[in-house]
Amino acid sequence: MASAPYLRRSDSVFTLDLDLLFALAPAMAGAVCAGGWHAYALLFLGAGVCALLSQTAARLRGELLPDYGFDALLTGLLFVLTLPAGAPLWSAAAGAALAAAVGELSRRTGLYLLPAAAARLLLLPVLPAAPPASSFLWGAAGGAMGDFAGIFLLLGAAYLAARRLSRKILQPAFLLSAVLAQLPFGSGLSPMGGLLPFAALCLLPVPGVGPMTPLGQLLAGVLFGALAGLSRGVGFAEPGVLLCVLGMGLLRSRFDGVGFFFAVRRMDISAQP
Amino acid sequence: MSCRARGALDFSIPPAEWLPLPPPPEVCLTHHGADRPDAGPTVRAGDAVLLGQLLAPGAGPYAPVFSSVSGRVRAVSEQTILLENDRMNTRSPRLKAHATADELAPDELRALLGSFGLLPPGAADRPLVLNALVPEPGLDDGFLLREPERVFGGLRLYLRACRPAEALVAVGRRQQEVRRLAVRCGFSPRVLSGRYPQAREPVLLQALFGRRLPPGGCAVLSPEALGAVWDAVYDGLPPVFCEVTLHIQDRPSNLHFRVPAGTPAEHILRAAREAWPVTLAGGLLTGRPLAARGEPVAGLSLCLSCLELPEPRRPARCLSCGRCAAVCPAGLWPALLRSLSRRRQQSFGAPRCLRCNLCAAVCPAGLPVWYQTAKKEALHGVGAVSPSE
Repeated sequence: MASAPYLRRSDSVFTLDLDLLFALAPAMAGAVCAGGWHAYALLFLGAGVCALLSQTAARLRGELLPDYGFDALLTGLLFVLTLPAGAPLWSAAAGAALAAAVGELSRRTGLYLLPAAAARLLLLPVLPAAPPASSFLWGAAGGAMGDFAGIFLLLGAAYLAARRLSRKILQPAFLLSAVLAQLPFGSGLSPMGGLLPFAALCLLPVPGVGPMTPLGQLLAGVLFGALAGLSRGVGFAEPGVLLCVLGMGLLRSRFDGVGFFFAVRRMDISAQP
Repeated sequence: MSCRARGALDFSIPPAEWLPLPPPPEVCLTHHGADRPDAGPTVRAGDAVLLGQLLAPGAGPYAPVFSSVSGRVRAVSEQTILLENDRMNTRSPRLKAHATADELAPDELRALLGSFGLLPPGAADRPLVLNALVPEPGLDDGFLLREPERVFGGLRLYLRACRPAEALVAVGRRQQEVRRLAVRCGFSPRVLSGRYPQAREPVLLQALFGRRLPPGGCAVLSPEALGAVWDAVYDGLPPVFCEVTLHIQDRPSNLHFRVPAGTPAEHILRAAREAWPVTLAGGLLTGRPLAARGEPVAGLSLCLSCLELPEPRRPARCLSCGRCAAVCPAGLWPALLRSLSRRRQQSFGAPRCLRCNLCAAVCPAGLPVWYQTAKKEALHGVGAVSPSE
């Protein structure tokens, strides 16, 4: 018998995922602008393979994926958006399979690894990212598909902000410190591109990535943003950003611990005898 | 989950319907003789009892127990007294009704209310608050709307007996009718937002006084308690009735009954012709499933909520969204306390938690409230909850 409460807000993981999908829609439109019909095929293939494999793994465990495997579908889409527009079709399928495997691993170990980011990181040796070609707002054709149209990413971010799903401290702190950290590396380096805007605006709001306390968000955002900026400065843009996103998921409880330590002074949280 | 509100929790107040109820064949009253022998029962099985007769004297924190029906004692156990109802409602000759309150001096009035267990210890001189807020979403203020004379009359009697430094009537923004009644009865109510869980004492006092009061720093009374004060003086009756609100899923209005204390819940449900898979003692946010349908109702007021069997919802992993912290009225971080409590196998933060369940109600991952989990794990070991939670 389930315990109280018997009245819940209608928000669930499914509705959060749905909101994220709506927020990703402009980025997907940007990807189609960058890659045409090929991008469509990559998106469908990635989402389909990831959902199918996650569903199969759940069936083998004797379970059903909650919310019809919508979470896995979203993971597939996120992964494909980190690929370059000209990526071969096999890379979408292989990466989606890797993402499904990482998701399964994450479920079993309790460690939070953002599957899309982990899969892209694993595929980087065989499918390196090309450096972004032009400006942030439109036409960064050489980088990841998700980065193609910054203006579209901002639209998605505005939607998440309107739905109060954006991380108010984490995202700006990450983006700002990344841009500042790469300034010393020369004026020829574009402040954006190399998965940085996509990670800040689309990967960080994914449920589970990043700490929840304000101080934890600030610390994680500044630290990982600086690391991402530095890695971009030394020529490891995509791996650096992806590692930072993964680190934020893995270490979120540590950062929350720091934030909690300062918040705890205002609370009487002594244990009940 | 069958009881869902769109967007936010539903704070609307449903209207109320009042229904007559046949007298119960037997009632079961709880006493505290096991905890404190001098608070134990003074009757034995087979004794005849009258309505309002003292069955167990109060001692320390325990209020006295009075017979809510007339009849015979069927059984006395370590915790309960089972009475057979003769349906005559023959009153105890010791009960004395007063035509006017002027017959009683304030000291006598205080002594009378104290003997009925209606005055908390040290009630005199403390600020008094009539908590007219609706306690939980789905419940209503039907008792106050139906019995304003008893409630506000009881408040006047209480003021006369205790002469508190300050008396406040707290009303929710949506309770326009209650506000009008309070004004008509000569009280100027303090209008609060009334959003759940403002009816909880610490939140209510913070809203009224702008600061945290020490425990017992203020007497907070419910409309039902003031109704009992009125009954004590004008009917001479100790608190032997329970005002029951029956909240039924998908029904637009709540049902209200006035039943003798100790009436089995099943008797009320049968009279209302309601047969639902789950009946809760309490509201939808904090209620607990009845241990048995025959569980007796206790206290001055109680809500019974009837609903479908909730769909089993497998809790997901914490999403670190921070919504639980955003809604926590005690300013706690439930998700972090939950993880801390899991690690140390102790219920951290429990003394400050108001048990409002709001954190669990807004959690998109469907995680249970942390102190319940921590307590469960302390009893059964950490393995009782899967690591994916």
